[in-house]
Amino acid sequence: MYDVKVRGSLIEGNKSYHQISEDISKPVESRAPNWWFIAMSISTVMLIAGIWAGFVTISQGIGTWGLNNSVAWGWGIINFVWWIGIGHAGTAFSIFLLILRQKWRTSINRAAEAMTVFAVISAGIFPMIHMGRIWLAFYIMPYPNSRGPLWVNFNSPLFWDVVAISTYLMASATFWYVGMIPDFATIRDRAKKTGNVVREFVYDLLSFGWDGSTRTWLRFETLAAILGGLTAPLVISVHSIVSMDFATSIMPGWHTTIFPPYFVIGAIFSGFGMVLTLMIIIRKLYKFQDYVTKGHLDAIGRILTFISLIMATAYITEIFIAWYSGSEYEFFTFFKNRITGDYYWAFYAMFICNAVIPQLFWIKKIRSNITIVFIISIFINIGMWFERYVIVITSLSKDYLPSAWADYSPTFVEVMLYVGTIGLFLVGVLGFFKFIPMFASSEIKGILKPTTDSND
Amino acid sequence: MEKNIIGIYNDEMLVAPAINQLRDKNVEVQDVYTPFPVFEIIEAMKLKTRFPYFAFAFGVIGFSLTFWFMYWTAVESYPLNIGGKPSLSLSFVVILFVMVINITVISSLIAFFIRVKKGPGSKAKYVADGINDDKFVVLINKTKTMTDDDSAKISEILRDSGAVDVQEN
Repeated sequence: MYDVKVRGSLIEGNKSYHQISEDISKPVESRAPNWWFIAMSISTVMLIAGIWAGFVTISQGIGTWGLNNSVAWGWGIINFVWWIGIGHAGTAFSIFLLILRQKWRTSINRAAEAMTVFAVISAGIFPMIHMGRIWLAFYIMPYPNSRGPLWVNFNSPLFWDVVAISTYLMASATFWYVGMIPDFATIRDRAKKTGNVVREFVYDLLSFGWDGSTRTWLRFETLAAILGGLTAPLVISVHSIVSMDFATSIMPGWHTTIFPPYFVIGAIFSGFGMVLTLMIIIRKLYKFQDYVTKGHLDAIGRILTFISLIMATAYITEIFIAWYSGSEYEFFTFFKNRITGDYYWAFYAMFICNAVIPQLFWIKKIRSNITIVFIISIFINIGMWFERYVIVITSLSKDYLPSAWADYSPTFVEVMLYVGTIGLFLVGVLGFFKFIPMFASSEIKGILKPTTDSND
Repeated sequence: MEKNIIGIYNDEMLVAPAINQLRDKNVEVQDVYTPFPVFEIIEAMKLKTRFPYFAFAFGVIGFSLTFWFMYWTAVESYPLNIGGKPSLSLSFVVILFVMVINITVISSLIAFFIRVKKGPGSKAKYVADGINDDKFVVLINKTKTMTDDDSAKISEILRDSGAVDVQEN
């Protein structure tokens, strides 16, 4: 047994086990703060706006969007990819760091997984609604039917998407929920003590009769490792598959082999950006500074610097290959329609937000200034949205035939649909703040003392 | 109703030595209840699980089922000519990959809940207060052959090894 103090204490404030239970259960047990009600109201209004936009889209058709024959994918697909990207953080965080036995993940994984689930649900809405006839959505499922039977095309990246994203949602939600069971049991026991019958009933139901037996813990840990080991390659495959929606087409700017790794790393980048945003909010508003320490934020900052460099490399590689390949269409797309041309502003917004601004994290003073870190995390979220905008809109608006060139701008309905998914995400996250323990208390208790390190 | 002796500890590091001491005296520890997984305790109780083998088997089943399904639908039942490409395609590997994960995750989850006999609506076994908070509880079954003298000895071992409370019921 050895104890190497590389990072210092992961949890500050000399907490006892009981104190951790108290701290983590507090937001669930006490009345939500005033800001929570305000935020929930705003999010609900946004969600309602989204439901209205969804209703308009479904009842009147896709004609209510600003799409045309050339730009047949607009904000719908941009937002879909953006949300899926954000949805990659939770699993990236929990699972890669679980497999790498990084103990600092324990303070962040629960929130990151919650974010994943709500982001993937938000993402899933776009392709569904984009079908136009959403009531026929079940056609994408392979089941024996009276249409032939006409089976789905297993060679189509769009069908791969359906399978990959639904599996990802299921696996992430499973991983998240299983991890919460012991914490639900803690809240159940505490509710029993204080005589809160309703809370005891609800959390008793949610905790599946958890009793903390060592036999159960052993299987629980093994299950976590199995789910982690299985979901880690899924993280890679889901966004690779999303990238193939583009890369297997012949559009200039899309038809590139760099797309799968470029998308995966971009997804993890945007996800980590959102985790950073969320953790700073949780830390500040719930006063969880002892759990999400500056060390945690510093670690995320360092990872983001590294991923940002990879992003920059990917952008530059794309541009270089467009020139080096000698393909005039690729050259046109990158040099005349991205770096210069009608959409140059989107390209520079993407490049500056993703490849330049995060480089400020090299400076320790910036990494330790929470306000600046928060602002940079927002820039990353915006930059990643622009990345998808650049990919989708520039390629589609000016393809091979100048006679087919067309402009695109979103309609109010499209914008509201996006606002609605942000509302849905926020309602989910705020619900998470109030009703679910924000940290995995059993994992935090497990890393409190160096004595339990002997398995490493 | 079965009778038990329980020793309650505040420190998880005292539990594994206590289990070893009890084993030296031929006392079998029924179970230990803890707020978080403690590997020393799992080791001391010599617990093992075959779960990974089951997960592997689920993966093999998932692979076979998915491949069979795709082959049957896309090659046998309704082969579609898509640009003259072969019906049995290498790109099946994508769906295979994802579905193996899908089926293994669901099956492992079901296997877990069946094995630990828990699920929505299950009632937790009450052993002692604070198990899901900060207490580590060693539970020993009082067998019929156990005399009062034996239980007194067990209680003594538990106390000597650092238990803050020993209860019999």
